[in-house]
Order: sequence, then structure tokens, then C-alpha cells
Amino acid sequence: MIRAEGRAAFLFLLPNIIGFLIFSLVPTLSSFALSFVNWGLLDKPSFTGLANYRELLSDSIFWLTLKNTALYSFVKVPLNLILSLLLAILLNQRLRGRNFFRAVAFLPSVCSSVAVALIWSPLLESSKNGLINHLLSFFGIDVIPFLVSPLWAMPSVIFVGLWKELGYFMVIFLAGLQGISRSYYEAASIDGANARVAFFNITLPLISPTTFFALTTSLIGSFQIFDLTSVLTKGGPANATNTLVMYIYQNGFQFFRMGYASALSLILFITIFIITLVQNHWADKWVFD
Amino acid sequence: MKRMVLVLLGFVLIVGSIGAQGKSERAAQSGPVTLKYAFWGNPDAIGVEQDIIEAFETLHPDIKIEPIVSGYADYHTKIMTMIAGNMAPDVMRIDDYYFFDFIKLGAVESLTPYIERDGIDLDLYPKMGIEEAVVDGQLYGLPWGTAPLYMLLNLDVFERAGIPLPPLDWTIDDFERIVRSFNPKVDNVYGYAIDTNNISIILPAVWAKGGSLLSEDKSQYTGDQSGAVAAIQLIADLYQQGYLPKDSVNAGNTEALRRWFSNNSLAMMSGSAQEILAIQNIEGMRFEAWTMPQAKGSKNTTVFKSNTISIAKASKQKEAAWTFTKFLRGVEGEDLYVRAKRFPPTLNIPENWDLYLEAGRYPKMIKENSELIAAEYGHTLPLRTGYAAIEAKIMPAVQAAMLGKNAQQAMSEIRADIMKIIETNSK
Repeated sequence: MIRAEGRAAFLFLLPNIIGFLIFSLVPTLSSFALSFVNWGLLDKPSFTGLANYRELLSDSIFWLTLKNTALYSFVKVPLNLILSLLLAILLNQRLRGRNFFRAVAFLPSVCSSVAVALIWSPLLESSKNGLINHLLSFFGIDVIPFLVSPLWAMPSVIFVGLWKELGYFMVIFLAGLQGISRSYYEAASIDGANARVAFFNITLPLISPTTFFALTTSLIGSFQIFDLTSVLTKGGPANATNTLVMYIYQNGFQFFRMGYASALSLILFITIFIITLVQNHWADKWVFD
Repeated sequence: MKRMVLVLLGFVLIVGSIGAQGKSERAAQSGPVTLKYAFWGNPDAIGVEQDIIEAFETLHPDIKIEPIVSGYADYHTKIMTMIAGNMAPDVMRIDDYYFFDFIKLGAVESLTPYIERDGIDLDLYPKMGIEEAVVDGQLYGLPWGTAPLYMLLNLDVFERAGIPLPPLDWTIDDFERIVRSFNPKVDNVYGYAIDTNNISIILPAVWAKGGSLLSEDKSQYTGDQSGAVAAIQLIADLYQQGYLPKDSVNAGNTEALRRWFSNNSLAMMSGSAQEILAIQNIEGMRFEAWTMPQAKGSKNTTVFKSNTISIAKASKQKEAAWTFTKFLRGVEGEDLYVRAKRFPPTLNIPENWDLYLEAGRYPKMIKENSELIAAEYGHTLPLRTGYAAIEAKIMPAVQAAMLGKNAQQAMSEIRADIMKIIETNSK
């Protein structure tokens, strides 16, 4: 019976396994192999050993894109988690129209990133014609060069990324919040705990598994940022918003350097892998199961 | 268990291969030849291309054309991937930015034997378009959409500002004077705006200052020499002093440029035939297509750019592909393109201008100015293998100069990288 059940389970998993093999594992291993060759897509690959990795180490644009990607991720992710948690707590209250507000908050996350970037591009125009600058001018604030200043461009991209993803993580935190039994809050209230104490000693610890999931998925996704920067700024101005995935795309599909692009991809993979491992290692200290 | 898994996998493989085999057998057995024709455009509305395909299929009922369309942004990536995956289109349009890469990678067939066999008169085609398709004496494609990159002048903005239109042989100093005549801080109207998306936009200024970005033989980087640096510094100074819109430094602002121009917030902008087509659809727009500002004593500063129609080397139906290519870039295809106003006439057939022009429709001087540019003011791009990679180094440096870095420093810092690209792509 157990063998029959195991067989059935395996058969149900088989489509996913085949998909994983064909669309994930094999391409990853192929990319690893390609990182040791020079290949322009149509010619024959020529083995170059570690040449692509040596070039990568001395490539200033690679280090810049890695820095930009890290900046985007390590600023956006904490902000995303904090704001989406606050939004979830707000929309977990008994409010009139709560479901409507939840739907409105979730809407941006179902739009494609390209559509979101196309909408925000004219809004962030660096003149009084841009809606945001136009509104700010009513408060006496000078035109802000949102997408054209190296100082403002990345914060602007982070803002648009936050706007798009807030709703998605709000829903995840909502699910986590609704999984907390009310009896904890009642007991704390009897013991004289106020809202702040209840939040830090009950809510946060009990949604830590949800927070861990949100943190991990958000970091993995943020490190692969491409579509927003590609449409909003094309990586500019002066490479201020050029990200690692954009640089991989440029090398692979615009400069036809598949070997070098594969080497960059492997570095991205290793970076995300190390970050995820570190997160898992530290999870024991703050995630309460 | 293992046996069941193997049986299942085998079943999937067999079904898949039968399906694929069946399709290719059906294709081989059916009568008409089907050619895959790849081009960029709107997949939902291919417009004149559909008319051309229908006209060709009427004349050649034994050849069917299957269009493969995608947006420009990913088009060349898609074509390259299709070729690498043994699914090459038979006939494809290639932007000349990438053409030399396609040739170097062995993706395109030489058309010289076909041209010589069929006695095709190459004088019909624009000389600059043919030059851009020749490598080592072999012609790898026929020109498509060969046209200048014009300076578009918004007539209403000029009139309201009380500034006369420049002469066709205007200089870079005239250009600077006109741009500085506008006072955008007061009335939000700019003299000029650029799009730092590609080199074509800054090259006219570079040439007008007597410089270049690559040497004549395209084997050396010259963007850090005096002429080029002076041009970049001029653009940077105009930007820093507020004469160009702040968004000019954003490479993603092409749509914004068109919006400012059509809202009469912009007097001049660079524009291709495609821009002209878009702006013509805006009611009430009065504009002209002009030459680019020149150097004293040197007129050739207006970019003359082409795209190419080529046959894939991997095509298994080269004769049919050649038949279609001849039609597409011959008198018949050109006639349909011009009637649809897709681009100004490119073949040396003066009567085609009567098909393209409409009485009272702007730009009214496009015919005389296009002919003048072709004869006296045109300059081809310094195209070579690795052009996209070189452009990806130069444009951020231009942006850095616009944001305040010294132009000489910005253009010198990229020398080593560009020379490395040139050396790698010369092997």
C-alpha cells in the first residue's frame, strides 16, 4: 500500500520534475558550461577556460551593476517588508470597505512590470509637466530630477518597485496575521499589555515564519531586477541604475557574448545562493515555528 | 516503478517526435513553398507588410509568406535565437547597427551571385545603403528604409518665438545660437532635446565640430580627441545651463521627446522616417524635416541610415527567398511602401515622390531636403562588428558629461574598454 502510494505521489510529481529538469536544471548546467567558452550564438563555442571570470574581476561595469543591484535589494526589501506589514495590520482591522481597499492595494502587483514602468515614466518626468513634480510645486518644492539624476534615479526605481509589490506582500502578511489566535492578545490584554507591547511580543514573533518567507522571496526577486530599470531608465543615467541582470542581458543578447553573460549569470546565482544560505542559517535565531 | 517511469518518458518522447516529424513531413509534402519573413513592427497590425505579402503571393501562388513579427526592442535577439535554434527565418530585415555582427557570425547569405546572375541594377538603390551592406566585396543584403535622420523643426514654436528657420547649410554655431534663444525657465519651451539612447543622435554634433568617434577605418577610438570632446562638452554645457530638458539625459525618454514636440514645448528634435510618420498623425502639427547643423566647410553631418533585407544562410529555400527579396526591395515592394507612407522613397525612382507626398501635408520640404541630404549632406554611421557594445560604453560617458563630468575625462576613461571591444571583434 505504501509502495502504491509512493508510486502515485511520484507520478503526480513527475510533470513538475520533468519541467524542473528541462527548464531549470539543464539550462543552469548548460550556462555553467558556457561560462568557460567564447560563443556568439551562431559560431562554434571556443573553450577559453577561466578567461571570462578573469575579465569579470577587472570589469568596472560588473562591479557597478553588482553594487546597484545590492543597493536596490538591501534598501527596497526592508522597506517593502515594513510597509507591507503595516498595511496588512491596518487592513486587518474591522474597517468599512476593507475588502475594497485590500483589492486596490493588491492591484499593482497583478500589472506587468513593463506596464507599471510605462505608467510611472511620465509621472516622474523631471519638469513641471511631470505629475509628481507638478503636485510638489504646489508646496513650493523645486523640480526633482527623479530619473535623470544619479542621486535620485535609484530611489525612484525603488519607489516604483515598492509601489508594485506592496500589495502582494501585504496579502502574505495578512494571511500570517490571520493565523494568530486571538487568545494571545486577550491574555496579553488581561496582563496589562498595550498595543505596542502586543505587537513586538506577540505579533512579530508569531508571524516570523511569514516574515522569513517574505524576506527570502523578496530578496531573491530583487536581485533579479531588470524590467523596471530597462523601461524607466535603460540603466542610466550614466549606469546609475544598471543592474546585474540588465548587464547579463546586454552581454548575451546585444553584444552576442553568451560565454561572458553565462559567467555573469553564475556569479548572480552564487550571490543569491550565499545570501539565502546565510538567511537560513540565521533563521534559527529569530524564526519561531 | 522504474519501468513505469521509463515507459512514460518513452511515450512522451515518441509522441513529441511524431508530432514534429508529422509537421515537417506535412510541410515537405504540401505544394506551395512557405517562406518565413521576419521584420519588426506591431504584431497585431503589420499594415503595409500584409499588402506586400498578398501582392507577392498573387504573383507567385507557389510561394506562401509566413510573417514573423516582434517589437523592435527584442527583435534582433529573437532572430539570433531562432537562427541558433535551427529555426532561422528565410528572409529577414536587419538593422544596420547589428548587420556586421550578423555577417561576422555567418548568419546571412551573400546576394552577389544572385545579383550578378539576374542582372539586378544596383544603381536603383541608394549608394550609402549599398555601401553599408558590402563586406569584402560581397553584398549581403538589399537596403530597406534608407533615409536620413532629420532635424525636425516645429514651425509653430519657431514662429511664436520670432526665430526664423535656419538655412539648410546652417552651422553648429547657428544651432547653439538658436537653442540659447529660447528661455525655458520662463515659458517651459526648449530649443532642442536629445535622447541619449544611441550614438546617431550625438554624431551630427561630433562631425560638425570636426571630430569623429571612430577612425576612418573604424579600427581606432577617436572619441576622446578635440572635435568629439568639443561636441560632447557643448551638449553638456547646454544641458547644465538649462537649455535642454532635464530628461534629455534619460535614455528611456523617446516617447517624451515626441510628446514635447507635439505639445509645442520643443522647437527641434532628431527624427527618423518613423518619427515623421507618427507626428504626421497628430492633427495640426506643422513641422519640417531639415538637415543637421554642419561644420564650416564640411557639410556631411546628417546621418544617413539604412536597414537591410537579407537571406539567412541557414535557409533551405534560398531561390524562393531570393524571389521574395527581389520583390520586397524591388520596384513593386517599394511602390507599396511609398503609397503607405511607411518611409520616404528610397529607390532612385523620382516618380515615387508623387506617390509619397500629399498636398498640404507636412513636412512639405521633405522631398527636396531628402534629395539634398543624399547628394550633399549625408554621412553614414561608423558601423562595424561590436557596434552595440561600443555604443553601450559611449552613451553613459556622454550622460556623465551632461551630468557635470568634464567631457574630456568622460570620453578618455572609456578608451581602454572601447579599444578592447574593437580588438576582440577584429579577430
